[in-house]
Amino acid sequence: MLSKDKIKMIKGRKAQTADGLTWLVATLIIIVILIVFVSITNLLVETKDIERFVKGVFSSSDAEEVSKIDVKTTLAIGKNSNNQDAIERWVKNEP
Amino acid sequence: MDKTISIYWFAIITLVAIAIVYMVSAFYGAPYDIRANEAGLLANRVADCLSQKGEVSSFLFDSEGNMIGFNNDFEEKCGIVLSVEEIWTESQYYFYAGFFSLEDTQNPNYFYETGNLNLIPSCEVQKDKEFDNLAKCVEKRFYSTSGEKQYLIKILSVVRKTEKNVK
Repeated sequence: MLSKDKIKMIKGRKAQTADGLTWLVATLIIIVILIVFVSITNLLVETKDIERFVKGVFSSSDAEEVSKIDVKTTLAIGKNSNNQDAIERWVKNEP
Repeated sequence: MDKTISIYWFAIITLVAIAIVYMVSAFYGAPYDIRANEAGLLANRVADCLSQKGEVSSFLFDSEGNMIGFNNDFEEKCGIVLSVEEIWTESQYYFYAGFFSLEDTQNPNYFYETGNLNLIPSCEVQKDKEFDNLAKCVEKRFYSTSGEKQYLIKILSVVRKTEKNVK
């Protein structure tokens, strides 16, 4: 038969274990949140390379559409369209 | 117990502080790399200088219609300033503009180049992230006319400025 003091001590240990578990879970949550934030930061740092970021966001066809240089070719073809196919191939750097 | 909790909180606060310092330094320590954009914009500027409304600019021809090109007055004619900040002793730019005929698209009838010739080899390896510290190149091609003559124009624009664009 356990004495009253021993029973109190055992109950106190159980309370300490529960308390420790709470802190452990809290620590894990804090670490996970930090990892998420650090990962987001690293992703944001990648966007500082504008060229790669733009290529990643817009497809190459979109980039071609907004090419200011292509307008020059279109205007010139409007003035003289001889050899148009050869010109367009050269402009697109096709063989 | 209170002492343990104090040590625990100190450790957590230190961890969070280290993470915040890392995140701020990582984000603000990495400069925006705009070299390719700058090279593209400069190439557009040169293209505007060489050709307007589908015709090659008249100042590139003499009174008889022969191409004379630039006479070391590229910056003045095109309104481009190639000087850079004092931290660099060498030019950080290179420009090439070549006028080709339809008959011979390999050898230009006329070409003009200015700036730092040492930057040209960077163009071949610029897509490799390992060589990010080298210059960025942009090549643009377009077609233009002058009367009945047809010109294929190639512009190569190179910008270095690594120190300000890459960590």
